[in-house]
Amino acid sequence: MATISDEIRNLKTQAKNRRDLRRYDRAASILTRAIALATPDLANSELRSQMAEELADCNGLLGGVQRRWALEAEGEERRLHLMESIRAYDAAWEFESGDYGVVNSYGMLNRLVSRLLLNPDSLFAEGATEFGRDLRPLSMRAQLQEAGQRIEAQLARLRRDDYWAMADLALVNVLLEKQDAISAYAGFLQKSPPDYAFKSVLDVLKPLAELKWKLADTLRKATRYLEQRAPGRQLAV
Amino acid sequence: MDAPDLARLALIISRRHDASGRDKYEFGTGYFVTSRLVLTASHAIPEDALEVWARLESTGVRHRADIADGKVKPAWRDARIDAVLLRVSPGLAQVEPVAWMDALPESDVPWRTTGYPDAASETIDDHTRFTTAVLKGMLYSQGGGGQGPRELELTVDAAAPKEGWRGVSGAPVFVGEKLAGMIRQAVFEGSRLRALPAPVLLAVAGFREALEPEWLNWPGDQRWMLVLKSTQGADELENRAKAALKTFNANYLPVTGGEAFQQEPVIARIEDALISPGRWLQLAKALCAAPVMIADVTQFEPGVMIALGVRAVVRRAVTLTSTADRYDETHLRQLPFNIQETKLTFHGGKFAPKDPNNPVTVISQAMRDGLLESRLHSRYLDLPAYDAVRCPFPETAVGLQAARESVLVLCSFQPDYSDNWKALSDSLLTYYAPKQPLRMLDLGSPRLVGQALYEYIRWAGTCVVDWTSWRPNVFFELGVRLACSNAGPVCVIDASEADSPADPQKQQLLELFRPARYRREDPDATLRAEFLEHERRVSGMARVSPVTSLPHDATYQIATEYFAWEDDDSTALPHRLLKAGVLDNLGKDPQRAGVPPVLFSVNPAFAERVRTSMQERWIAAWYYVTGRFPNELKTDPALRRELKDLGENMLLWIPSDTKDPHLKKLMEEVLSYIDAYDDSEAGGADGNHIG
Repeated sequence: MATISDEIRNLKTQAKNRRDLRRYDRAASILTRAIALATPDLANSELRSQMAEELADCNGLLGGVQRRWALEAEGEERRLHLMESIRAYDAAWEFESGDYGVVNSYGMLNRLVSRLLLNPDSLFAEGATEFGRDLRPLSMRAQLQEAGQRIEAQLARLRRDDYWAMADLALVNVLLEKQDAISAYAGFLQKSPPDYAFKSVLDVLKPLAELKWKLADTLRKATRYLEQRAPGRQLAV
Repeated sequence: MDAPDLARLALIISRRHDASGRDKYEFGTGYFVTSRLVLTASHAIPEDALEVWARLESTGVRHRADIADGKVKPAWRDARIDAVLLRVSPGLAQVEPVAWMDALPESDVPWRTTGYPDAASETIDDHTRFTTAVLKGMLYSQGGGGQGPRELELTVDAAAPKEGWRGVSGAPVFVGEKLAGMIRQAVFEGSRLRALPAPVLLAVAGFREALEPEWLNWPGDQRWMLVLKSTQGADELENRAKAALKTFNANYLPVTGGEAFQQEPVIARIEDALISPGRWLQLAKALCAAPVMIADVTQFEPGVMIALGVRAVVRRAVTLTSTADRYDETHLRQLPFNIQETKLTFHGGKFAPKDPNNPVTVISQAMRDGLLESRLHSRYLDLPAYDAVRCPFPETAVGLQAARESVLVLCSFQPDYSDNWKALSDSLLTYYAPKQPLRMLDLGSPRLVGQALYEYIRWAGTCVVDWTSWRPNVFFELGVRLACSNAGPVCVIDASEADSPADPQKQQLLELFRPARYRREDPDATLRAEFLEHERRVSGMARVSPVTSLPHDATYQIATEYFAWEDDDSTALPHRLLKAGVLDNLGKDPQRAGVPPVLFSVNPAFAERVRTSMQERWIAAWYYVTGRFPNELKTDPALRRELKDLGENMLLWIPSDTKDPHLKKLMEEVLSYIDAYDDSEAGGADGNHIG
């Protein structure tokens, strides 16, 4: 007697495993199935909020899969997967920012991170930057500032103890050069997050640290700092 | 009218196949105890009978027994006492209720019957012609005792060789106009017969339940809701439950999963259930079977509370309790603790359709939440007692002795009851000494009172229930004892509250459960005899089983037979328990939550141990399925899918860069299996690969 939520959760588990095995093609295809499964029930008032959460999560996972895929590729292939990643994170953000009652920052922040990986200079550009056909142009600094404010508001209430929110806020502050790495990630570390959270945070930081831009040194420090404090699996479950 | 009545006497003919597939016939004697039910000996109806007819003696008409799945399906059968009830068609037009002899005779009495013994049959042209024979003799009141179940010992005036009695099995034994039993076998070289006594038969709950015309009818292939209506309640709950079911089916199925519920609920009015023991037992059966139940607990009527107590023992979920009145905090605080534990919904009042307090919305959403939460949490409960009564026998010396030696008393704690307690406890100590009478407050265990209470309700050797004051919690606890112990309670009541109560439901309960009346001034005068008779009943030595009252362990018998054990985790296979153990601790999607699901797991040492435990549970589940069911995995698609699910969950927990050689090897095995499975789903390989 599996519910639709059970089926979606099973698909997400499968996709995470394929992602960790670097079988990105398969992971993306499983997530596309999960998204197709959840989408029709968005129209069901009883499932609307739950399905919006699942769609935000599935699209976010898809954005992550595409980004990892891109980072293992070069040239045009890398660019195309980064654009797919942006599309997926933008879709996640649609559900987070719509009137579905979803309180998250997964899509909101990562749509900006993938854009930075595609075009690091956009962080320092004045006004909106174009990222390619059919992708929304964004003023990155303004978007990061807005994301930071939203996450702070979430942390003040509904996501008070959420280590994902802490990590997202830390990244925003580092990218906006508002805090050094140690200060920025203190809140995240204070929550004693589990190993998969460390892994996920480092997976975002490392490619940003490898970019040739002025934040590279700060981001490398943040990466090293977190790596030193991620003692395997001796953290909360 | 001569007994037995020939308009109810029947030759029983059973057809079955022998080892070579040829038709073989068995014969016996039967008696219509209702218009459609024929009582006969179980051994006269082979388990593999393909067809059975009851040929009525007075008309020669053949009445065919019900068949299901190509075999005869008795309405009730108990091979242990060698009795069966066949439901036949067509039924008899009009029959009076059978006059049962519900007490064993105190002295020797004459008996008689009419049956179809072989000795009275003759073979003509390869066909057997059965002729009735009248048998009579003396029923020895002191015979038929000794070890094993009680029997009737009958002398026969005209003896026959032992084999000549074949065919008389199932014949009714009459003492005067009363049906005293049913013949089962010949002894003493055919000079005497043995019969099953009617009081023994009447003490069997399944028999009593089957004798009752079908009152509640529920679907066997669809989910359904039981509505238990109170006496005082109007039709409000019934109407709103109907609307709630429609709302649930229309809106909430995608949320909870599963098939739609039958649109119409099954309605049980408590006053209808208390009409007879058979009706009560049919309600008990429904309480076991109903996937969802809503009970009207308005004014906490005692009959409803007993039924809820039974339900609390037989179903973990889903039970909704609803009142017509909206109680405020002051009123709720006055309720006994075990009733305060339940979440009350309200079905009374008028509310706009969009109002969240609208009862249709409240009930349908409570159904949704109950069904959903009972799937998410394996220990879900909406009534107290389910887990507590399942505690094994107390193992400490103190616990063991206390449970066996105690006389647990379920009673009121109101100030005006204190004189009753003094009188009753004195009477109990005098009779049961050195056993001490114990109330809930006197239980020695330091555990939570509720837990200890329900555990004692199950294990106490003797349980006395004092109905005085008619407290709702006492009746709930009575229901718990009725359902969970094969030693029914001793029910007592202050005579001043038992004589002609104005409330008809109380009158019904007094009739059905027959609590012993006592006077505070001299309880021993009546209670000593009741305590003695109760001990006889519990030990199977009682000589009486009144037709109008409930056998002491009848509810327990029904619960034992019909309890939904498929849902009980004591029957779950290890891999499912292991999976449930992880989900109970972590939830279904712990990674998304962003907060540690396990309390105190920010403590790194504790978190490490928890994590190891969860990982090892997935590993153990995998090894169990692959090691235990290697052959089934080749043929059972559902098991293959289950194993894939276990493998996927295990992979999430094992770091992909693990250095542990054993885990590396296991991961390879899991991946190999999952890949093969995925290929088979995509139409490729067979998906059976393990190792």
